[in-house]
Amino acid sequence: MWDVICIAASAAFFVLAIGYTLACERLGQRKAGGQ
Amino acid sequence: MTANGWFQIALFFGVILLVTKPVGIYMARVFERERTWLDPLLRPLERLIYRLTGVDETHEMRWTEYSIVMLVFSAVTLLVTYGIERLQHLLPLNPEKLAAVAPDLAFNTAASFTTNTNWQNYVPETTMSYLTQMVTLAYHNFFSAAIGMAVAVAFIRGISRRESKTLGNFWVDTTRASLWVLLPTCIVVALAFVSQGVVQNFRPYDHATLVEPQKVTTTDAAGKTTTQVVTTQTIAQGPVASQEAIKMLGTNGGGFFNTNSAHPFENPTPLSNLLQIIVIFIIPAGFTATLGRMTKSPNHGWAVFAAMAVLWFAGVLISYSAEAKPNPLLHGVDQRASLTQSGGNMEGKEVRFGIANSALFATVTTDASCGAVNSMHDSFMPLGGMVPLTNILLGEIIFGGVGAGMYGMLVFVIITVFIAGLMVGRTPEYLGKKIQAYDVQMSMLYVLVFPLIILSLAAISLLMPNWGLSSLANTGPHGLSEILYAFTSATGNNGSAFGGLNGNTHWYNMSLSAAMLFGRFFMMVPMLAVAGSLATKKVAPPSPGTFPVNTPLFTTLLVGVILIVGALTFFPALTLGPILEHLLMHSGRTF
Repeated sequence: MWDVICIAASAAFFVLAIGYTLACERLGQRKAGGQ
Repeated sequence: MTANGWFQIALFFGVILLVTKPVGIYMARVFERERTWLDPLLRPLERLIYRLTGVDETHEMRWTEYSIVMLVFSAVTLLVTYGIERLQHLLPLNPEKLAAVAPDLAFNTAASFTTNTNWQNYVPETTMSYLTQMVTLAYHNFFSAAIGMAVAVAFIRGISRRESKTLGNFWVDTTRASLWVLLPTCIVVALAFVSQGVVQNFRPYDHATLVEPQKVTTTDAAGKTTTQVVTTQTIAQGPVASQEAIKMLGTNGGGFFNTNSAHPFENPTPLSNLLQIIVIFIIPAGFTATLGRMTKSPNHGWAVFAAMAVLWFAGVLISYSAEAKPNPLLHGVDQRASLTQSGGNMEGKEVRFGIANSALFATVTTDASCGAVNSMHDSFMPLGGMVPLTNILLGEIIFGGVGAGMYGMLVFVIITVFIAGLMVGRTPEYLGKKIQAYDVQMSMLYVLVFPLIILSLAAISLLMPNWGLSSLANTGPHGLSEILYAFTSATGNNGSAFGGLNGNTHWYNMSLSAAMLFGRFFMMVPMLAVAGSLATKKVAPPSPGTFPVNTPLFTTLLVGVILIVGALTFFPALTLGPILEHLLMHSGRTF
């Protein structure tokens, strides 16, 4: 049970971090586009 | 405080000052792919690695690609580490037949070493096999450090490149950081440690018969007291010197033994102690010269070095003076320095290191994101203990972790330049590049993520008696300091423990893992975003209104901004912890 929780938590964190990266990029593109 | 103590502190700083420029220039040559004296040996090896792994070394990455590759690589290595810890009882190089690591502890350790934190909720010599220590933990000591260096170099490229969409290649930067910088230095340092008596072997643990048997009384959870006579002592062995070298050079800090650099097999002599703290600062200090060379503004590098040095000295001064004073609550005890004793507060310190080397080590290890310890920070006087805590709370930018210190400091440089621009009513420029809204937003995101994680998780722990407080040894402001230090150390990827808190519980294993992961990667990403944004900009020629970033005025303003941001964010928490404890100590109370 704990193995599943730990592996799922790791995977979820890194998916979130990639989403965070893309959100930061999107903010930059909006700024560059003058929005 | 003694003249001898100050001489040793001055000797340490003198060596750092001497090595900063050559190390920095060497690293700049490595990352700019200029020729170095190690090329004949390492360049064929590097090409072979790229051929085997399919890496195109000419491929340049945008900041998003650089960031995502770094995240995916870290995710894979974290999971592999977790798997090896869970399966170590089935794997070789386990002469003590140690059991599989418990899942939540394995996750905490995997997150800890992946993020360059090396927070240890376990006793290494009774928990981790030789294989786990070498294949996963020592591996992460190299690659988490190399990733920090790569990201710092990517940031410096963002400053130095003009109208470029790319920051370099993550695989090439980490490979070159490992092969050209970390590996050769570690071989030399490990041999130096062996010469001082640090052990390096694969032997099973020794068992010695005690000259004088000891009575040990223990109390179990039901309150039943048992007394037994101990006649033998187990003396742990292992490949310590090799791990010790990268532990310090990579500002990792995870000890081979539980007592870390206070253990005589990890840190046997005053010379090995001096060498250890020098090795912690070599790369972070060198990075200031790398910054100067790659941006073609050497004096800017020295201005950043000066800001770091001022903050380092302030920490040493406060810590050393706090620890050298006698404890006012100890009456009738001779606490003066003399030829036969260090004097001052020697609780939790090694007699062979004394006050000066304990205070210096504690300051250096928390200025950097190292976290190795040669004394018990929990046993420092309240203000002495506040110094390591404050060093981490400032963001570990006082030389800082390998790479991490440099990019953390550069974020503060951008905020400083921005504030200076506001003062004179001009668009802020940093080395000719205009600092715009997006750069400041990402810089502030970097600055705000840090306290958000620390303060929220510490507050949750303080509010939950069954989870957060049940494994706490002390009450009052000292207990608060212990919890605050744990989350500060984890989020700052430092890894040193204040002590007094058993972190090996479900709550602390999982919450500290979250703090380490968010503190590492959710701060790296906005910093890379700033680097990507800066790289695309044109360079404007200096004008009379340009704020110079190579002057004492810049250094003063930078130090001021760091202290104001740190003080505004964390002063209330420090007031409830070490400052309150200091005041109560002088009214006769202890915790």
